[in-house]
Amino acid sequence: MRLGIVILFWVLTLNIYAQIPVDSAIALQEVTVMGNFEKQFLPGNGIIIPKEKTLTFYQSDNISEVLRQQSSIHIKEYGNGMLSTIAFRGTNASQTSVLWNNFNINSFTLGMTDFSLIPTQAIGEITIIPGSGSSTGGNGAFGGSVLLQNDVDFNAIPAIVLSQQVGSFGQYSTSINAKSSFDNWAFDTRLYWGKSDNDFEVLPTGQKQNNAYFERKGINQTIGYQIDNRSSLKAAIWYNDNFREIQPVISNNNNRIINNQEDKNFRSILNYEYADNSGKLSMGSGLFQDEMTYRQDHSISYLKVQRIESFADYKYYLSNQHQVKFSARHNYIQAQNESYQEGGGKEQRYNLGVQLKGEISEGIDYAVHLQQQLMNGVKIPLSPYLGFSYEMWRNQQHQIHIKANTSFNYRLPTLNDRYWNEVGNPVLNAETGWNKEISLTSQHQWDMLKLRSSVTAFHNQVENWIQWAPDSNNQWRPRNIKEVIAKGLEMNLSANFPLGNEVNIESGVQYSYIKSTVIQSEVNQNEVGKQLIYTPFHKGNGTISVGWRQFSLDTFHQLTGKVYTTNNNSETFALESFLISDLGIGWKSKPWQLAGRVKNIFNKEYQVYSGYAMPGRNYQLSIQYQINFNK
Amino acid sequence: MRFNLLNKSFFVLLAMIFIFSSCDDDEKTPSVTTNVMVFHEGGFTKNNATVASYNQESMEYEALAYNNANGSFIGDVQQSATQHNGKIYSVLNGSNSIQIFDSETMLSAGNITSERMDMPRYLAISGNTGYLSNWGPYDENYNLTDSNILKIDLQNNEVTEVIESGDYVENVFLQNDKLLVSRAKWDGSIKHLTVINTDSKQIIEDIELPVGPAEIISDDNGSIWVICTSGKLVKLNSDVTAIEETVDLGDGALEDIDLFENEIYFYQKSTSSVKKYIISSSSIMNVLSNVTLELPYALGVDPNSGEIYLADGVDYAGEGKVIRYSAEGEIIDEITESGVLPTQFIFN
Repeated sequence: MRLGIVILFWVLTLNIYAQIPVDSAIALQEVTVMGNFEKQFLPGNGIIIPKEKTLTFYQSDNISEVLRQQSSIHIKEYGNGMLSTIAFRGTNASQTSVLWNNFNINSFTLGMTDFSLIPTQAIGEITIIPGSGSSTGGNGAFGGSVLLQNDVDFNAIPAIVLSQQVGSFGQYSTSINAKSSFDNWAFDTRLYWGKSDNDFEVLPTGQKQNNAYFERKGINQTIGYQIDNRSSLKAAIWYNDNFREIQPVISNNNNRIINNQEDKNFRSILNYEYADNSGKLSMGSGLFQDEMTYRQDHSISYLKVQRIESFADYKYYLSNQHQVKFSARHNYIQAQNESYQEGGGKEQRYNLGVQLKGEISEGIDYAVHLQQQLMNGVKIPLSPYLGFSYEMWRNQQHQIHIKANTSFNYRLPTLNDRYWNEVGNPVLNAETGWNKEISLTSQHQWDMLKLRSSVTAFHNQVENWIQWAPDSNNQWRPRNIKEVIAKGLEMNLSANFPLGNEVNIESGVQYSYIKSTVIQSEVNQNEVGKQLIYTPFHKGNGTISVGWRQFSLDTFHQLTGKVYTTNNNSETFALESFLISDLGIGWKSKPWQLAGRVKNIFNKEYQVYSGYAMPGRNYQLSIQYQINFNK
Repeated sequence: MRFNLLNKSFFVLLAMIFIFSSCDDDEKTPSVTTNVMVFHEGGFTKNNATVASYNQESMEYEALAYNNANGSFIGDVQQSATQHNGKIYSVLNGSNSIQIFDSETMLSAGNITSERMDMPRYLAISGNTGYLSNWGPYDENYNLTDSNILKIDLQNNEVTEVIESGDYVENVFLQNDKLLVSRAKWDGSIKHLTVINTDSKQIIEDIELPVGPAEIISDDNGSIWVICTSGKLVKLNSDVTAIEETVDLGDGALEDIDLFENEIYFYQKSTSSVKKYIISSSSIMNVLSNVTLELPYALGVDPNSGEIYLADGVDYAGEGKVIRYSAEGEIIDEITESGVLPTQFIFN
């Protein structure tokens, strides 16, 4: 850890002579739609920005806790704090793309993101785009995209926020977040450290959970430099080190077992932007290294993936109403893995795209994309997107939009699929997905009551679905063998209103119904017509936050419907639906902030993944202190 | 990975049970199977192993018989089960434990755990002593270099001793003071039958067999037979010091075999058939043809009726199925969703 250097850096750039509280000097969890080009080119899609309350509540947790508060996202968790993968809109874990600062950070070996490796504290801004059409940064956005962003504010007033949290079963979490700007420079630093003994009581047995300790530490440093009025540079480095014991199944209480995993993710990027009246040029390059060491007994598996990814986008204003963007991207990937033929694999991926967006007439926005990815040996289709947004109604109090989009997308086979010893297939086809969706969104205001609602229907047909399955010699290998249709409805309603003069209420409910059905399968006829495993039909969320003077009361409720764990949809092995409620009380008076939280307040016994215990009622206390500086 | 423990002592025990029960109940004819327990591995690390109960007469199948009696799944990766003195000892490979339950009521009757228990496989019992084959931890390259046999005192359910056995231990079989252990590494480099003296706890023989030695049974004459999955049936000499006879089965065979009327039943995937080796005439005879199983996982022959039970794991990711045939080869019943990975039958 080069902690010393970072702190020194801070001390040098700050003028520490007074601690004058400045309002909103650091709105750490405040998010805005800016900085990411992708969102602006998707008029036909909905965009979810997690509420600040949610981010604050789960700030010492992984972003999986934030994501699962969104309706059609189901997070599969292999025990508490363990491997957490996403099922977004009824798709599988590798069919959601995760971008950081516009670079894909899904594991290139497994194709998916383990959200337990992304602490909320590390990220400045989280945006969720359900559905497709957001594959600019990579591939595989069938279910949706999770965009993570760390930005700088060139007007930031220097401040440091120190947070400490303690919780049940040996949870500790410390973070330091700092922001500053001077002259043409701007900085944002996030340092974090946390651990949990994680020896919670296993509710069905009354025993303590064994072998589930985890700890993490990391730094996310962003630096911005304004070269002149038109051009700027942004550099970011994110290093995350996560160690965990692998939580065994409920019935395995052997304390002698050695089973753990350490992940080290190093991510760095350098972006350059130039903007003038005619257009905007963005160029960037990133260097990424993911290392994973897995130990079982005396055996050690080690794998390393190194990547250099570069892009260049040029956006040109055709007129006041229309813009065109050309983009090119290159990704060089190099993997070291003993399980691969010749101990590793290398590949080059190229991507070219053109995007057009604009306003046809007042209130009607459109976007058209065309994208082609190229990779040796893999058949990848041209990927078009067409999206519209129509403002049906607008006055001071009410706005109603209708949005629609359709796109054809692809997901590349992973390095494991291509290079695994003896069974990997370098000429697998890309999965393809044809997505269609339509939504109606509205915003209303009656006096002090603010209401937002949306209803979305989607239909996503995925073909050439890649799955590892035993062949006739009982050898497991990846093949393009399935067709799946995921369709569903998402509904969203949120209301903010005051009660009297001093009480403010923020509330929201979300519900989604998703049917994700196997239409064809080359291997197993039993699963045809059945719901995909670990994909709940029903998912609901509810939240109420009450603010009164310096106090706040937040509750989060998450209802996850029954999931099947076998592909024949056996009721016998299905996991029951569960409702988890979390509650927190906070007190805030600059520069202090205190909070107490109760998670799983009803002490519900539940399993997210078959066989793995999850904790019952547990507690957290957090304290936060903000130091403000004058510029 | 599968094993059916219908050894001689069990037959004797069965016979005794029926003799005694027939004294109380005149209507019940002895030597009739009423209940078949179907053991299921469950999904790997899913902690959903099941024990089903099948009533031969009413043909009712209770998939969750153990759960219904005890309120939970039995554990993770049920590797094998051994019946002894009215109790079932279920060896749970993923849970690193043995669960004990009453074979009639199915109510739990304790469990056996030990820090030494690491990926346990099969259990053989004599009197109050159990011998458990135990894989032990992996070495640096995922090899097994620390396998052993755990000796268990079944009166207090404690592991009392660790017996050296060589690595990759699989099936275990007790014959008087000899413990026979088949050992098989997946690449075929280890293919042994190791004989341990239960008094001295020393290895007294280590016989090399054809590739894939698995289940060990004894025939009506007390001779020991070992199925080798590469497609050989091996008979050991009476002292268990050397191979006496090797029967070529023509092609690979399921590691699960069963003895009925002194004939050895086995399943062959390549020919989609159940065959039997007739010991008296040293010949192989076809019993069932066109039995296509996607993932053959277990074979059982009802010791009373000669009915044949086959288990198909189907595809690991879903439920398996169980097919019951008459001794003549007619399908009597088929349970299409029996549980995940049906792996063993016990007839009572």
